[in-house]
Amino acid sequence: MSRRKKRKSRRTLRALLWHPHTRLIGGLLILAALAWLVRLDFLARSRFEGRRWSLPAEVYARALEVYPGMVHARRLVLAELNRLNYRCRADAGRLPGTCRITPRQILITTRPFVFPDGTAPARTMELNFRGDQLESLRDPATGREETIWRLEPPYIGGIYPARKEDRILVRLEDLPPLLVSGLLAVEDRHYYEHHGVSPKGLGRALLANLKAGRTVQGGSTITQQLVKNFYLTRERSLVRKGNEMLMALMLDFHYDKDEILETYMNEVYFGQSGKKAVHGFGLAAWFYFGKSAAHLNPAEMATLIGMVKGPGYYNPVTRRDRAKKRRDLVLKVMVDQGILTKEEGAREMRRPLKAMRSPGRKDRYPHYLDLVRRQLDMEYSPEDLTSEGLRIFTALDPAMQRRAEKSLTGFIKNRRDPDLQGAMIITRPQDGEVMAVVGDRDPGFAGWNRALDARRQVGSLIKPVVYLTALQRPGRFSLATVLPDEEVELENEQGEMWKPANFDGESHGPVPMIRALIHSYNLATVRLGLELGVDAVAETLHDLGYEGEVNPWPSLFLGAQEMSPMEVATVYQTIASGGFRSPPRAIRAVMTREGETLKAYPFEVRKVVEPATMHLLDFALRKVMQDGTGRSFYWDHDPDVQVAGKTGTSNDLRDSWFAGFSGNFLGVVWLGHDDNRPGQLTGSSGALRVWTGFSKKTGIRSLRGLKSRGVEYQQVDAGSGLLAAGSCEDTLELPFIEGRAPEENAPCAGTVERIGDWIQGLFGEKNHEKD
Amino acid sequence: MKRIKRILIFKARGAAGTAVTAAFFVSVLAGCTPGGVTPEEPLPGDGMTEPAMPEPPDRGVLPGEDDDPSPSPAVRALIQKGLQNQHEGRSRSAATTFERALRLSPELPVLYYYLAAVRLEQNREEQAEQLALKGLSLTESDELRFRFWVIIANSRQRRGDLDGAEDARDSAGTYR
Repeated sequence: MSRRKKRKSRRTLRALLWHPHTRLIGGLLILAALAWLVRLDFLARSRFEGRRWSLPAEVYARALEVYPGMVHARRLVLAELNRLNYRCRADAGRLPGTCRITPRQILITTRPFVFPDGTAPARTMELNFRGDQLESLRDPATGREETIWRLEPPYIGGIYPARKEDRILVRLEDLPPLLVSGLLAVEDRHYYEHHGVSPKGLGRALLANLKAGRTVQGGSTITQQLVKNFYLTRERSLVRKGNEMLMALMLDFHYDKDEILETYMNEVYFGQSGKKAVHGFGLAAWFYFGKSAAHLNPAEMATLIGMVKGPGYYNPVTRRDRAKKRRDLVLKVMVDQGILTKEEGAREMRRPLKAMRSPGRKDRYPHYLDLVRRQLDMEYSPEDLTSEGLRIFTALDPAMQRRAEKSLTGFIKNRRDPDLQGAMIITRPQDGEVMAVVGDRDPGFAGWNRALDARRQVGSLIKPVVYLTALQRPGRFSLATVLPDEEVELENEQGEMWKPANFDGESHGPVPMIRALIHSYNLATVRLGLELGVDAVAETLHDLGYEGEVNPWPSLFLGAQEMSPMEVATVYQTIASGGFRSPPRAIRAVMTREGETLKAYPFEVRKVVEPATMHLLDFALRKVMQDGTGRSFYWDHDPDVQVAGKTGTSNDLRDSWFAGFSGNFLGVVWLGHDDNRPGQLTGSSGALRVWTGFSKKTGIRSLRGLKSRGVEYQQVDAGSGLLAAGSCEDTLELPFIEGRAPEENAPCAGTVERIGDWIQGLFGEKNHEKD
Repeated sequence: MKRIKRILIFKARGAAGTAVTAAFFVSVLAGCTPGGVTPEEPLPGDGMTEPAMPEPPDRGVLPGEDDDPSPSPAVRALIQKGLQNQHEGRSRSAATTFERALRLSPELPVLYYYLAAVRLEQNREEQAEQLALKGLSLTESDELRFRFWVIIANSRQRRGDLDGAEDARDSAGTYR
């Protein structure tokens, strides 16, 4: 090429470069590049911040109270330690989260925990037992005896965003140093020296890859790997790679090395747990080894570190051999790097690989969590719930929950009816706290929550509401009021006439109100209801806590009223607590991550029925269990155990219900089919059996003896409802509102007294009637 | 005549509020002598016209304990802790602690008394009254009945229900 030509082309180039258009384009390009950088910077920072704080709310069960005198102490404590994933070994020291079990003693060191009412530091306590009884609680450090102590509450699940994932956030300083240095040794040896991108590492990786002829080394720094996770897709391109490098540099510029490392350790992916992704060392430690990251041994740490490269490929559960090889390689690197001694390395390599897919962090209580979530949704935005790491304290009692699940599923399985479904709710009678919720025959299946959403006809469960309406009119009605249990015709909503019937198809003539209730006579109840009116009964139902629509027809008196088990529990709650309404509560308090209580949900009561009136109903509902439709309860229980309740059966046995309460729980059970087809179970033969089974395993506490001011007891004649005396054959001892007992003597009173009647009189009520 | 005199007596006790009650109990339960009680201070929001919270007995026995069931040692310990919290001005923690005790002994009347007193201190008069009514439905003790009615009287007084407050004071008077 001639010199002239060269000069000419150089001139053309210069002209081109200095051409106004070129300058414009160049300027625009630089601007675009800058804008691109700003965008990347913004992305890097916002994603990083978002990742750091995107924490689902953590939901906790109740904390187990431990005190001398508690029922089934040893059994409950052992189950709780298991639930809390305590490590119990003969040589357990005073490390938080450990225990030592001997036949007469359990030594426990708790983990520190921030409760809504104060911080509990880690503490060692000695529990001394005699059999299942807790005899004493002693603090070995001070030698002092304690009267009450609580363990930290078990974690029961998280509230997740639509994208299903779970986290246990760990702070860098809480992680074992060996885990951190081991991770760096394997993944990014020069982490604390580079600026987010490591040219040395990149070069080395390139060399290694060229030598091998394929990709064997990534060369990505920890920062780059973290940035990679900011993208949802797994695209691999040079542009993407370049973007990632730039963002890594930016992150490194903006944030502290430790902050980035901490975020990485909480972000790194460890495989799937069902639909949920397992992210972070904190959760992975629980998921694969059933313990917190702080308690991992070096071999377990090495296993997890090894998984970072490929959580599916090196999965210690499904790819055991591969995972073990990888683990041993990681251990070797740790030895080579001098963070483990040769001896330690050899010892750790000898350990078998014992990983499990721990159920520890599975949501074991989907239906209870569903209730919690619904109560939270009313007050918090979905963003707060899924990203702020709120801590939710609930009233769930895992022991009660487990027994409720077992009682329900056990009964259903024995029925050999694959479509039979059920639901169960357990609350504390006096304060309305919800202790257990089962919404499916498979309690782990998070599908339709029948406990909250199945609205079914309640049948005779409505009767106590009808009778309470009457008892609230003490001038007109008492438990002794004689009702005609006789045929009656009613108009239904279609304007047709219908004739209700008793369950046994018979009429029982004139019966005192109490017997009509305890034997669940339909005809007497309808007649009583007609006298009171639908509106009056509906009003009582609302007073007791039902908030939905009420059937405006007389079929209401027989339970043609659809309610969910939770709604039934709300109504019976008020009955169980003596006329004081306490709405069912699942949540006790909501705290921020920082330990500040955002909101407490206090115990509240409101008097809606006079306690004396409720006394009469309570008396009758105890009689239901002793002499009426609920008496099969006493096949399995001592007669000293007083309970109260009511069975319910809807038309053609479509629904089998029982609602009842003891001193320590209120339980509502429903059994039926989702398609509402007729079944084979009455309230007594179905739901009551489940309830009884539950109460047998629960350490049921008897109701306390009824006493109430403003109530008097009188002996009355069952036939007339008037005061009984000497020769009356069929008598009842009944409570009355003070001053409202009958004053007139029954016709049978005053005749010649016979010895036999006198003896029978001593034993109170006799049972003449058939069922 | 006798009743009026009684009312005057507890009116005259001034506005010694729940904090004083709490302080007193802490010392009583801790085995101190009643002499060590902090001086009476009116509580914020406690109008001087209001009848005072009744004073506790000068023994290590809880109000109503003679007639109602005795609390278990565990519940007694929680009561002490709750009163301590209340004394230190942490009424939220106090309420949480009394609720904790109620979960162990949901039918122990005296717990409703303490919780109602905290609610009154938190200016939640409506709940104070309702808790007192609940306690009244459970207790067998005239001493506690008196205290519950005084809480109800205070609660109504503060809400401006003067007739209701007067009725409650009358009811209280019948138990003294």
